[in-house]
Amino acid sequence: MALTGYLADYSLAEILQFIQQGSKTGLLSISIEPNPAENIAGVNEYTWFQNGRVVAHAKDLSSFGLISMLEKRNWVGAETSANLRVQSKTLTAPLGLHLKSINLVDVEQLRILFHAQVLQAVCSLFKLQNAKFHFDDRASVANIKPEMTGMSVTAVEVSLLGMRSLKDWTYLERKLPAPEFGVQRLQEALPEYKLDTQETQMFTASDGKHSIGEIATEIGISVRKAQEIAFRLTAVSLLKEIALDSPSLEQSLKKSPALANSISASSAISASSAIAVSAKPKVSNSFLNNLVGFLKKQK
Amino acid sequence: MEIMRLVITGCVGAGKSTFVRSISEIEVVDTDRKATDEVGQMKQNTTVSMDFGTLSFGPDMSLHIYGTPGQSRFDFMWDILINKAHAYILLVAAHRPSEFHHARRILNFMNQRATIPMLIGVTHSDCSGAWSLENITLALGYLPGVPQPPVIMVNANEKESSVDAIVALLQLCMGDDEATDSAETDEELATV
Repeated sequence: MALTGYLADYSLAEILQFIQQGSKTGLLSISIEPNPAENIAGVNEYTWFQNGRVVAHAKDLSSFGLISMLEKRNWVGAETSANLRVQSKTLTAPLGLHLKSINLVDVEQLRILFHAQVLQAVCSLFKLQNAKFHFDDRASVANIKPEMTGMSVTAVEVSLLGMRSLKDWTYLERKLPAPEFGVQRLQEALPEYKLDTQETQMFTASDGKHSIGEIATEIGISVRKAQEIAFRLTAVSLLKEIALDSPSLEQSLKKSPALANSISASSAISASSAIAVSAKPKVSNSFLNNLVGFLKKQK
Repeated sequence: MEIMRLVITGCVGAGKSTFVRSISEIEVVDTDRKATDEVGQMKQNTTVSMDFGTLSFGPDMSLHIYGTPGQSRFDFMWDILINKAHAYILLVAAHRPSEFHHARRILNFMNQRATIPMLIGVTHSDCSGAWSLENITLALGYLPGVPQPPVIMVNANEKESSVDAIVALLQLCMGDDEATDSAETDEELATV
């Protein structure tokens, strides 16, 4: 089933986490309609995934993106390039592996290609805030062998790189965990991929008992920075948010003038005390059976 | 009087107030106020404290249904309500992926506060851009192959659909009770 929406609503970090956690295979298209009146250039970006890993990226669907990169770097001559364009239609293995098998490129060159084609390109997508996305999990990767180097990276690794390079977090503002929230590690060991110093400090300090605000003080960074790092590590499934002690009604009213305006403290207290005063006795099986019977008759 | 407390939670606009109204036999006690922030773009009024409805089915048996506020700045109410609840339903609007992150946050909060039977009710699944149940479950953090709560489609505007959701939840409660009773019996036998 295809998913469609805007990155402002469902961020690229969330999409990549979704794709990795679901081990999804398919094509993610990201686009911005051109608007010359507002000097907005159109954008089309295509990223392919196989079992939750990014395998290729291109700016069009011509299937010649990787060959163009080889030409641009003068790693193939004109004749070879023309032959590759013809051969690419019948490739049974990723183009990168094919080129390596005929000694046209080495492993280091493949790494450079993959870095430019996938890592840099996908990271730059994090800056697009108003773009539309479309993920088609029926799109096959069998036809994109000419765009594949043969290398791949997990969706969340590239997500982490992208979020690190993000300067403007405005559109993610409302998704950042509140400073009074705690964070807890979902695994004890550091991941196989490299975290930067602050991410490592945040990961280590995330014991589910201290708030993000307290961790910020402990590791000597601003609360805002700590919120961004906590979001990053949550979006790559290394941490989960923990609700520490809930604020009292009085604290909530103090924190939010809008709340204070829209509800009087006395009415909220009386509403909440109606449920708070009574204990929670167990509900009997006969009660449950009677209720089910009663509800079924209501239909 | 034997009372069961059922909490209906979820994001703003997921259909919580409508759900409570569709089931309650009494005029729902609501605390809706005019939304003054970004919520106002989605709906005119929002629940700031809770919705409350009842359903009596005998002289001394009653179901109390509480709808939580959707906005996190009212989360003191989430705490109060979930601590006293016997079961809960998380409503998620299928066509609003922008709210999935918040729904996941509510889910984490509720599950940290109480271990009680729950199910996920997916609303607005007939709207344009609605996600499938499978993808919503994944977006809420339930990985494939890992135990997850039942996920069902709910049309809060239709009483029958709300009833189906509650019946499914009650059946979970019965399963839980049987498991607890069985464990208690095992413990009793062990002590003998």
